[in-house]
Amino acid sequence: MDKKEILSRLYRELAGTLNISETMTNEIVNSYKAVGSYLGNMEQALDINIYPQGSLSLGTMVRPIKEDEEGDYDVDLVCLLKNGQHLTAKEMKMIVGQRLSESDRYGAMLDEEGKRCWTLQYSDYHLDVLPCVPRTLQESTDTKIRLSHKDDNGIYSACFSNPKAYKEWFIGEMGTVFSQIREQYAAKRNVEIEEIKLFQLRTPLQIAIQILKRHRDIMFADKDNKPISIIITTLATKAYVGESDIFETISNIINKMDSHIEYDGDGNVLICNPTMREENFADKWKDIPEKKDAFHAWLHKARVDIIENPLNFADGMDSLMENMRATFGTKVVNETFEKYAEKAAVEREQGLLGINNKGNIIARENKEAVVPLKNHTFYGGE
Amino acid sequence: MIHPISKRKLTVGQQLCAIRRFFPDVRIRNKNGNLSIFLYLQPTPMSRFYPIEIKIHRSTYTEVWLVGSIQKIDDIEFPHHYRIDKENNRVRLCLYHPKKFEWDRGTSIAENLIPWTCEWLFYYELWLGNGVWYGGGEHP
Repeated sequence: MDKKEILSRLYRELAGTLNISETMTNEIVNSYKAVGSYLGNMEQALDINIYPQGSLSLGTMVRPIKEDEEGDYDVDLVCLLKNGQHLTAKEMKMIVGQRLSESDRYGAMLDEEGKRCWTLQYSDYHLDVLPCVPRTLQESTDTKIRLSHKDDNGIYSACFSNPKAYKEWFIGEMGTVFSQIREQYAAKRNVEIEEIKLFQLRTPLQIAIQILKRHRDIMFADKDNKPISIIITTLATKAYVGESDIFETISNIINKMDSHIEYDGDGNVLICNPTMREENFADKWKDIPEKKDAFHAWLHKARVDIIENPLNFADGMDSLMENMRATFGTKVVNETFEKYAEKAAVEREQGLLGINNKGNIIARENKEAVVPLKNHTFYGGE
Repeated sequence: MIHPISKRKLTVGQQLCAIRRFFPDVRIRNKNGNLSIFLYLQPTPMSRFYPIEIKIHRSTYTEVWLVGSIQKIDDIEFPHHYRIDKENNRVRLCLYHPKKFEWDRGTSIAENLIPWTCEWLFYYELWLGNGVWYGGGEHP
């Protein structure tokens, strides 16, 4: 196993520990479905439909950096009032807010009005419920939505977005890697392909994005201008060219993602929603240039921490572990190495390992393996 | 799995021959019939190279020592070992269960003790980092 293979394994385990648990996912899904049916019953004529957008729907959520078991997850939900095309920006926001606040259950959990959403606070997560309506009047395949934006002066205006198309684009950019992984998942769990949700899969792109987001969360724990997830996700997806190896995926993304930043005629940064060019995810960079600097500082540090230092300066797995703790957080890194070690133990038990003439533990079938690593029992005192 | 006694004893010459074949960089010293085999082992490409001395006492029993500056040699939880010789900066490693027939004089050093040492070093580095021994095993 060379350095890159070790890092691929470690990064896969790391993303696994960063990933939201299945139990927590189910709890969140049940919660938002309950919100959806409550709102749906209250406003039957509007035909309300709630579904996740953002990292939950893409499978790129990461554990919050609080060191306890499960911190406060941020869940973005589209709350589509399917028959609400006639509503103004203010009306759509008020209807949802009104219904939530008059509920005994949700009224108590409701935060103050946000710019675009209503937030319901649960013990381990919060749901950001985004009221919106279809952009088009007539039934069509257009999935664009019109949402409501409240500015600092209390004025409501319309904004547009298209989370469904974004998700389709995200899946499409993964190409055959996505379909292969989905087929493997279906075969392993004996389920129909149509029933599989994107967030149940672990593709190299999802893994890379989770690692990048965690790196960002730690770097910006006490700093302003943290690069937003949608920018990282969009540029990473654009840079991804279908690699299947984890280390290769993440290093190519880090090396290429800034080449997908565009500029308008005045030199302003454009990181466009690929499914809706008029939406610029970096629109705030124009007024707050520190955001641009922060993004580039982050990308530089990610390159050093995730690629260069582990490849060039690792001096023992213990020092790699130490560096990774500083980069990704103590608890997740300890768990990562635990899983890594457990897998190595299982491989030895199965007779899959051997060593080369330096003593490196490698796959037994590797040409460099000079002798197999047989089973034995470490003995003796501590 | 476990194969007791039936193997033929390997001569010291056969042992050395196998070690040289697989690990050409070894150095071997003979002192009054006691052999010392020195080699550096690196359990992963991310790891340090650890100096190891394997002693064969008058063709009868074998000891594996980790030598040189040893991190956390003072730790009371230093993992699987027979002896810590702080004065000489060395630790005798415990790599197999004496009662499970994992090792006898018929067992190849090159094919057993050395790979087991590599694995010990693999878990040792993780132990240095985490304070947890993930390699399993038993304590007397």
